[in-house]
Amino acid sequence: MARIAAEDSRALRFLMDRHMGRTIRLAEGILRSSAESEDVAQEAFVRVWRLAGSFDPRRGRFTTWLNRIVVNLSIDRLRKPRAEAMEAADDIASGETDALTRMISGEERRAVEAALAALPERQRAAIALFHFEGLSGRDGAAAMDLGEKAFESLLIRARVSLREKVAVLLAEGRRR
Amino acid sequence: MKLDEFRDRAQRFGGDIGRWPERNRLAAKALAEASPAAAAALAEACALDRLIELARPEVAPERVDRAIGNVGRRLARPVRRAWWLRLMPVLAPATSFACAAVIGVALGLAQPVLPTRQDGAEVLVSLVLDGPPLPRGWFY
Repeated sequence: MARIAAEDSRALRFLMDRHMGRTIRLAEGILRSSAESEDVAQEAFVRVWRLAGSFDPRRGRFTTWLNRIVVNLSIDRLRKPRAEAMEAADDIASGETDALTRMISGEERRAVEAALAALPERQRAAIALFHFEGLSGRDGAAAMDLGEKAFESLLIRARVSLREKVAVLLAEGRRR
Repeated sequence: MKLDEFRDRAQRFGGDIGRWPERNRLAAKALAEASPAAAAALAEACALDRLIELARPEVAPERVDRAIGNVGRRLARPVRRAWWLRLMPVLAPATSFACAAVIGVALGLAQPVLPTRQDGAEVLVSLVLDGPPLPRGWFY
């Protein structure tokens, strides 16, 4: 980070090579849109470049700082009126080969996608940090600038709500 | 660990006990093996984990490369600012001073020289402060 603060672009490139994929995935986990998540990830690294001088390693790791930037940018974007419609869940490729399994899995995936999209943005961020990024409760809380208990509370509300919504959507789908 | 606490942890952190707080793990594993109700709660949490995993975004390498390239292009672009923005360090204090002067003059002109209606106390204050010197011995 000291090298980036001294405007060493190779240091930024090194960090991007290491973290860009994860950064896009975190943004996409919150935004549920691949195009917007790339925008957010790019903006996050532009900020890393511009704000590198203000990074203080005594206050936390670089990944925590980066996660916080990505979470804040993603939530800000969700709070603005969105120009693009939510992308179809079918965009994500499935590795399964069996037709029946694929059909059931596709149905479930669509239900989870819809249920996730309906969650409040902070609950969605908690799911993305804990489940998609595999962060611990403590690291997830730090990324959202929350206490551990508050993060866990978001997580439990998100999981309960997801379970209920998915059950309703799957039942509706099977009735049709 | 009680069953209620076990259920709470499973709902909160999912079906992988390895991801629960370290202080709970040993007791939770023991309870999951001993109690069918705990095992059922764990299975239910695992089912939800599996569903959530279906929505995990996959990021193809070309998207990563494109994003890295775009950041490079954005940072290579010189920051262009409008000519009037470059003058802001001079314009801002000059404009503030001019505005203050205009407001001051306008307020001064708008202020009535003499009040149109005064009650007794205001007349007295006006006489003392604005009028000619009072004759000696008038007040004391």
